Amino acid sequence: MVFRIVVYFSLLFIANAAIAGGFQVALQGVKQTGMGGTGVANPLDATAIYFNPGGLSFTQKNSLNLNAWIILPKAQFREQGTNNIYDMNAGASFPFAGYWSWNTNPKQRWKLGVGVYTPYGSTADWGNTWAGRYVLNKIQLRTIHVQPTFSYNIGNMVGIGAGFVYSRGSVEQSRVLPIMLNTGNEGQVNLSGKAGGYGFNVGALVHITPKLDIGASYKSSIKYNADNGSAKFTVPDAFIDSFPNSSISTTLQIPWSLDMGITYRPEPKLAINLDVNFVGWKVYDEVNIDFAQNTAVLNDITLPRNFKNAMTFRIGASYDIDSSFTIRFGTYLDLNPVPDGFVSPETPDADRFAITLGGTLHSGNRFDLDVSFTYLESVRRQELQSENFANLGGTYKGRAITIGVALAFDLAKKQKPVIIENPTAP
Amino acid sequence: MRYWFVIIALLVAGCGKDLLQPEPIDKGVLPVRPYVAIGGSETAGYADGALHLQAQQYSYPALIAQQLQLVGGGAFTQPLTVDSGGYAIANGELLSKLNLAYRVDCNNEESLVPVRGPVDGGTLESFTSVGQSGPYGNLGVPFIKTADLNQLSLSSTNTYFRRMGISQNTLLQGIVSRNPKLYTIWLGMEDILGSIINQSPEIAPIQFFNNLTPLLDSLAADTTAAGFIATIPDVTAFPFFNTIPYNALELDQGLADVLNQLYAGSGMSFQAGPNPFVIEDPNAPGGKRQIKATEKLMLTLPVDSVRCLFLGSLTPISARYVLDETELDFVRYQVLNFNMFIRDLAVDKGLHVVDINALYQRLPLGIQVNGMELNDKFVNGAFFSLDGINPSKRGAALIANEFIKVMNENYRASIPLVSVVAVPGIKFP
Repeated sequence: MVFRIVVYFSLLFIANAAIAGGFQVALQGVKQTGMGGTGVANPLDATAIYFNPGGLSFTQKNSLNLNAWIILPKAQFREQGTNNIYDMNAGASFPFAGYWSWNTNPKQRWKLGVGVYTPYGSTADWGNTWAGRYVLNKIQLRTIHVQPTFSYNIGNMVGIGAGFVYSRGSVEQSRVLPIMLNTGNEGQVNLSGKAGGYGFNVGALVHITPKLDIGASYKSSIKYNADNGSAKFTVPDAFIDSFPNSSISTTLQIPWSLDMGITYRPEPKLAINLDVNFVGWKVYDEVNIDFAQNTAVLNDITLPRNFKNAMTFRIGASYDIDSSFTIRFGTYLDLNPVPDGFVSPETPDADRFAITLGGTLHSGNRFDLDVSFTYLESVRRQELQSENFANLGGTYKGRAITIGVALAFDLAKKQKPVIIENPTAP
Repeated sequence: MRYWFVIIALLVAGCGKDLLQPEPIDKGVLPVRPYVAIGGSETAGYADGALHLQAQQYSYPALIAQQLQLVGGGAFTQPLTVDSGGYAIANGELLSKLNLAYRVDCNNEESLVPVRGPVDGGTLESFTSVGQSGPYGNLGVPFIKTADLNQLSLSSTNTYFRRMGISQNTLLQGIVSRNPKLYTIWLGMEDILGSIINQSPEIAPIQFFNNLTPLLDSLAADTTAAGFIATIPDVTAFPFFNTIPYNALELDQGLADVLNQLYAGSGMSFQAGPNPFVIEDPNAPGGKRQIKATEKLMLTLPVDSVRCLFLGSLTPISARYVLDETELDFVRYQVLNFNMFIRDLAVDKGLHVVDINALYQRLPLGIQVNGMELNDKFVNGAFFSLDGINPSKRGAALIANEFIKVMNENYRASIPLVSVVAVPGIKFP
């Protein structure tokens, strides 16, 4: 008797992503988070290492900038036909970002920096009894980028910069198998993988008038070759030979992103940012999983994903109420990259709309305390069972609240005696 | 700043609320009680070769009734067996249900196959009449043929009917006495299966029509009742007839030579490798011939005798394990015409047709549900139970959903479907 079970897995860097298009986490600086995620043309401090390496040379301070967020997501699924509603067991996730920028001599035109941040990552746990458990039970994704950066300023008019990105990523995914044990429990497979990859982040900022800046930055796609992943099966004894625990290899890719922005300052206290992100999700075309040990029923897997490139539109503003307090607010519309028929509980992806608030307390110019708050609503999205790649029909709806806190230290203060002693200073 | 906290607190509170609401459910103009289910083994919840509690609890009528209760349907009673190994009776022998287990064959080879467990106290207890718990909503009776509906002696010939303790003289009278406002009928398969598996007389389509008509006449007399009648699938496509290959006779050259010598002049020939089995056929020269590729062997074929006692080679396989071409043609003729009469009668008596045949016709390609596939393969196809004839619990859920869809379409109802993956699958050791 031959048992043929259709088993396919997707092992990509995918998150629940109530947060941003696909599995992108648009949280790289708390100040920017408060302004709808804008900042490509508005370098504020060392966070420019991520937002626009070209803008880093315009920043006034040598700063250490430490950011942390808590994401509280919620998502639900209503199964087509049955009217059953399932909750995602939404665990909080904690992205972070740290940046350090450096130049001992403020007269010089260059600046160095390094950023450590988590651009993609999240957790989705739908449990092992829900209607879509054969498609996905749980996914946990972590990525971390390290980006040493050099930025150069030309005539206080144009800043250019480039950073090299080294990234580590890990993912764990489990799904339930439609094979029941005598105990009444069902089988399960856990896939996990880790890999390193590298890319770059380049950008430029042009100071057109004292009131108007424009900027652009290009963050390359990063490819990970995870050759040493593992597949672990929990199956009835009858299937142990068919589903051997084995190593797996797969190629993972995160998309490129072209970010463009305009910052306008009608008065010194007010800055208005407009950003657009073009994200190259088309690289996420299909998923391939190669099992080191194939059997009659366990073959290598190719799954179409067919993501399309997508755009995000962001508006944000900051206003200095006085020398010690700045408020920030913004909004964005994040258009989803997942075509109809390819929505899955990995990325129950829909167009998203968010409003953001933020504030900065400036404490005697030694450090800033930033806070941000984001309320995100993802549009209800329906997949028909007859059209879905996994025949999982139903309606998804997501929402998330994100709270961010950051501390920005001004390291340049220590150099103040040097500046005073500078003979060219007034 | 203080206001911000108020706004944030409100938004955080809002995040905890449900994002999706259930869609409105409604019975429309469907009369939902009392619901009575009429049919054979599939309807009774006979599966895995026996009548047993778990299959009864997930019979398609029980699943329909469970969904009807969401829109005001009443309690649905079934003649449940006790929670045990289940029970069946075949050729006077008491049997328990099939489970997947390892079995060592005559060659000392171990394989995973459906095996009957021991007959236990529960098996015996299940025999006793449960008439005092009636009357029942599920009036499906295992192995019931349309001719049995009005059969006065049914109690003495059908043990499953006897234990239901129906006090009326016939099953038909028992059904009518329930005054159903909603009824489902799925009859006809036992008429066919009985003649090809158990050597009952063949039923001509016109007999089927004549047997079914009084039932529909009686039920349709209540014009306020809603009736649903299912078409029957081509039973020859069931795994019971499609799991043992016609040419599974594996020979080495020595044995092939022996057989060629033995059957010289009969038109049979054997080579090393897979060969068609030798079967009985009174019309063949010498009463034996090799089975044709289009013909089918039944799952009840004694496999140990094939492996170790030269059944199917030196000894021909008895015709009762074979569906030959003549039988196949007749069965397909029956299925076609039974379904034609079902549709005719439905139009004539004002019943709605539920095309279960169409559901079964999708099985060869596989029916995809929430990331799993149900198909017509034995055991791993998930749709059929371990007897290869009756649906599994998940198969029953798909069948129930076909009925509910027709109810929704014709009575402006929106009754939720059964979640197929919420129903238990087949258990493996």
